[in-house]
Amino acid sequence: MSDNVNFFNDEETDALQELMNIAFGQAAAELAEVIDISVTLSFPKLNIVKVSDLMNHIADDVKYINKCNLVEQRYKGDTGGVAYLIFPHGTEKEFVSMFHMDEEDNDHEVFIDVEREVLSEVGNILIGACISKIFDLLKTNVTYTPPHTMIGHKFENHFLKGCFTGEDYAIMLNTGFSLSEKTIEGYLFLVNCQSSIEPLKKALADLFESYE
Amino acid sequence: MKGYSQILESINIGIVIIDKEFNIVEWNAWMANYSEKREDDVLGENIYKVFPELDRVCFNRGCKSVFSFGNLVFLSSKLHKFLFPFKLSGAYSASFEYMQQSCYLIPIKDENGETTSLMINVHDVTENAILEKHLKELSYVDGLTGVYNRRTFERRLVE
Amino acid sequence: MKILVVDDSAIARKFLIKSLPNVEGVEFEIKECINGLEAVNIYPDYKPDIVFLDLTMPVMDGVEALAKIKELDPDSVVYVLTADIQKSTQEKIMALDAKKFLKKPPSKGIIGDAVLEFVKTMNIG
Repeated sequence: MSDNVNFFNDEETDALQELMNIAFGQAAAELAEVIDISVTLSFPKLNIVKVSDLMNHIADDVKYINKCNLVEQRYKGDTGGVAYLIFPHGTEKEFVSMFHMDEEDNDHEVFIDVEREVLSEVGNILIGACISKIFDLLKTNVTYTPPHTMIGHKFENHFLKGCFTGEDYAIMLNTGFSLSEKTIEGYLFLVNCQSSIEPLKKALADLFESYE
Repeated sequence: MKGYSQILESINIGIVIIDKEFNIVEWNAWMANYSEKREDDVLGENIYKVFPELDRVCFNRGCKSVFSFGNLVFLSSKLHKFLFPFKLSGAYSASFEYMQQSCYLIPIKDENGETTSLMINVHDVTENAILEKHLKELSYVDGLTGVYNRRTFERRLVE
Repeated sequence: MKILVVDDSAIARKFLIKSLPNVEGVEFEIKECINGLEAVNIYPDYKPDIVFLDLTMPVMDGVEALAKIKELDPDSVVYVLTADIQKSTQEKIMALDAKKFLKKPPSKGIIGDAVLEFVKTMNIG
């Protein structure tokens, strides 16, 4: 835990970390099934950070933050937040050859931005898999807005505005992912707003209860 | 319930609901109209049997994702053109042979949050696709001579 | 009956222990380790009947620990309990002769069945 903020006690932190671990394990296994490509998700990290420091935390992990490909998707349920899927600029071509396999679609002329569309579609599945498994375990439902996709863009501070206010804290989960034996590597950040702390605590309490 | 069925039948988008075995449980009037397949004839049938064209990566992957993760999947007309092959007639048929469609695959969950069926929403976006195609052509092709312009040449060079 | 629980997460160990079944006439003696190395070191002296082993751990992971335990005692009964449920991982674990590959989170059903199955073979043997 960074910043010495004690929103969660040690046991709750441990349980959250363990839940994320299980959720991402399930997500990786089922993703491999759904997209037919091997997926590795690294051990997830859990941090509670001030919203004003979020950018720095993301930049700590993502070295290519000034020019990256980004899929952003909001989700809402008892707890709400934003998911960011970030990977290096230039990998979008590999994404297309890896995921866009319907032969009849390959006659796109010069006219269509295939890369963006493929990133959106696959990003939506990657994000949906990880989020749904977490909320399954916490036994709460979640809905999504459609993804926004940018190619070769700088990850900017103002993306975070509007979802979070500066002095709030955010619960940040992140994991590294690798597709098809490291052909593409990137990061997934799930940033939950401060108001999701109470519902999370409640869900954890129910979980502890179920083992008594 | 009566009100809902009126909405379902009069709404200007295609609505199909399939169960986990991919059998059709709902087929609204819009679908019946464009597919020329009546609801009575397709209900209970496997959707791949009714439309073998659906057996393609984007649809199969999307359905798996909805049933596994309960998320919403969007299949863009820009990428996939259409899911259901509905032949166009009239003025639009000069630009496209088939109706251009943007489709959503949406989970339908029971009270336990379990995804039990999947709704396909089909939007007719042919008009937009024609406009977009026309705009792109304007920007890539020289209006006088009809050959690709310099911008297109430079773009191709980069690729 | 002696059980060794190996997991770096305290809460994961607690959840597992809470999931152990009540078996008539069987008392459980439980020891906990926080990584693979501790488990390998304690194994020869403790001689557990069942080992529950996590895979992702610091110092020594579960895969290495499983191999070492099997070296020490080819007849050891090791249940791997993990969040890494990919097929490739499962194949690797079964090739190392783990008794069973169990998916986290533990539940009374999964853990109960595994333990009861072992108790039965003990009674027959």
